[in-house]
Amino acid sequence: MVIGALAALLQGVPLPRNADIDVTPASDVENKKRLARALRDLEAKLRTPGLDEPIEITLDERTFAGMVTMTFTTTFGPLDICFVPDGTEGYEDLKLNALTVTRFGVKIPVASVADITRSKRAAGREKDAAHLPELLAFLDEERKSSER
Amino acid sequence: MTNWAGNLIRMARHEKGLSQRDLARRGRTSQAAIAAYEAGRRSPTLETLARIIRGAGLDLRIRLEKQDDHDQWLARYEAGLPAEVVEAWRRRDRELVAEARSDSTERSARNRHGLKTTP
Repeated sequence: MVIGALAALLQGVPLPRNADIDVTPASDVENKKRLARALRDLEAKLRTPGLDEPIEITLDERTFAGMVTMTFTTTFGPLDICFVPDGTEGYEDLKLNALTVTRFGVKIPVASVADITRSKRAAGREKDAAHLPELLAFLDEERKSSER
Repeated sequence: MTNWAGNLIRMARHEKGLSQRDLARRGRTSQAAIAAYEAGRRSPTLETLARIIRGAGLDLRIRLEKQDDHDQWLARYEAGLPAEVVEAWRRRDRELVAEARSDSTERSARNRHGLKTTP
């Protein structure tokens, strides 16, 4: 499931975003195997704090054991895998309010704007606070629209 | 520097369903000051910010965290991208927003006319 600024953008919230894409995968073993396969196809390398150059690692379902967040570089750009986004309990939690958006001929599961806002509030970093006005304005507009 | 303090005030107000005037009264300041903080035209002192947040019935907590270099790394990565790639990516983002808004308008119109909405 796509989360973060791109997920908000796919729902019409005009957030400035970085080049990376944030996703939260389901954490069952089968999905972790699919995720590892997808990362291998993307020639993903792990980016670790303090190192400029990403490193090659073995990518299989065991790679993700105990991980909360992993940042990768891929042939298509940076990709962050976030198993438990701030302020949430992970995929199963986000799935409750998630939507499916069809773009580029692909059905893309995206976290709801309310959940993205919840996560950004919990993260509490300056860049997350900077996104809040647009997110809150969208939620206000959505609420007014549903009341009409 | 983004408008961190103003965004926190706005977030507190939103969470508690308060107008700028309500929060100004509770935080012992003026509505004009709240509006200026939220718009980033002025910055409150830390003490003022804490008092305003308390006025909303919330606490401002500050903590130190280990530095995360991810954003700096991303900034370097983005700086290394050719300008046309960045422009194409920004343009695609704008198109995605426009497309989502168009979908949403269409859904609202269909709802108003009692038509079935496709997911």
